[in-house]
Amino acid sequence: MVGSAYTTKDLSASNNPLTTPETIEAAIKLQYHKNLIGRNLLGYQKIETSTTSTIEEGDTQGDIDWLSENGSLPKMDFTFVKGTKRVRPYGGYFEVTEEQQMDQLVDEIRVMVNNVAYSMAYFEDLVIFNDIISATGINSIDAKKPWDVATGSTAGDPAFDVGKAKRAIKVATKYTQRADTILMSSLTIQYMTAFDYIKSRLYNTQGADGYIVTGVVPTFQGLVVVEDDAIDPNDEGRALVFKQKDIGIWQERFGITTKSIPGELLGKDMIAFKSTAKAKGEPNIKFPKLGCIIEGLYTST
Amino acid sequence: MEVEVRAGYIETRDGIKAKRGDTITIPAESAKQSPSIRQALKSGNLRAAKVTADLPATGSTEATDGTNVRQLE
Repeated sequence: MVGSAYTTKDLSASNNPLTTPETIEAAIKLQYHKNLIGRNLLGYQKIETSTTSTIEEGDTQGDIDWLSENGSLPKMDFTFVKGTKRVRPYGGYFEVTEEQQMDQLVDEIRVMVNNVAYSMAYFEDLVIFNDIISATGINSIDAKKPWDVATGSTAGDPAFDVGKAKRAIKVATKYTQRADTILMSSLTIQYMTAFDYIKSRLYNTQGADGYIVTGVVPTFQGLVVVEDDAIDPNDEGRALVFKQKDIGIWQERFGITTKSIPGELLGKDMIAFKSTAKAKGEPNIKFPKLGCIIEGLYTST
Repeated sequence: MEVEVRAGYIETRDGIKAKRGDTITIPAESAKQSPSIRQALKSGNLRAAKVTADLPATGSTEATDGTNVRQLE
């Protein structure tokens, strides 16, 4: 037989290369990987089963000491309690209509692709940060005064509070570990830009393009500032200071997986195909002592 | 109310500073609690402390004059 057999799929896919299922699946993966925040702040482990073991860290035991006369060094260790956790799949789908495909409505399809990809990444961030702030053992402090007031006697003091959070991690880890990252919602960053000393730092960049031009937040007290609304989705007034990669790991059964199902198989005449995206993974926050929540950043709380 | 600290370290606006294993006293009313106390209670990083019984054990009593209490009822 010469040539390939004629199928409806070939016909529908032939309208525009940008509206083929394969291209759309690739676009979902591309956009998803562009938007990962929470996962990149954790360590990573590929797992082969859907249940993983967790630990609840106890106290660090032992101290460094001089080598003793009999040639031994003190043991350093930490206690922990074992637990288990189920790793669950998550994802979503959208449908591309025949009209969208035949009329080459790439813009409409692109918005659906972005919605699914962004939502997947944001969902992961919500899960990760919720696991961190509710982990048993996470350190916690109140802001001295709310940060949404930048002047006057009731003004907040972000520098003091962040310093206190950094110190809380040191105290909890017997001065062995230091934070390197602060995670804030966009609203908190907005409030922080009202403080004179922060404003001055944002504007005075010695000629280089700073925050005002690029929107990239510079480091704050040696901490990398990460902006993600998933840390405080309800605007309760919360930030997180922590040591990235070490606080916990992202355990992945399988990464983002896409699938396209033709509309006729779904019994939907007017649907060209349904694109699904799913993944299976969960955070495992093993060392919550390496994080400190700053609560009470807004006056209402 | 008395709670046991399960967080590594907790420090509140009203001057509480505590480490894991400490027992602290916090306001029972949610409105009077500081934000970090509320979050710690929600996440289980503060748990109600075990209360030591301060009431005498209940049991049968005996009349001091040696009569049977049951007979007196």
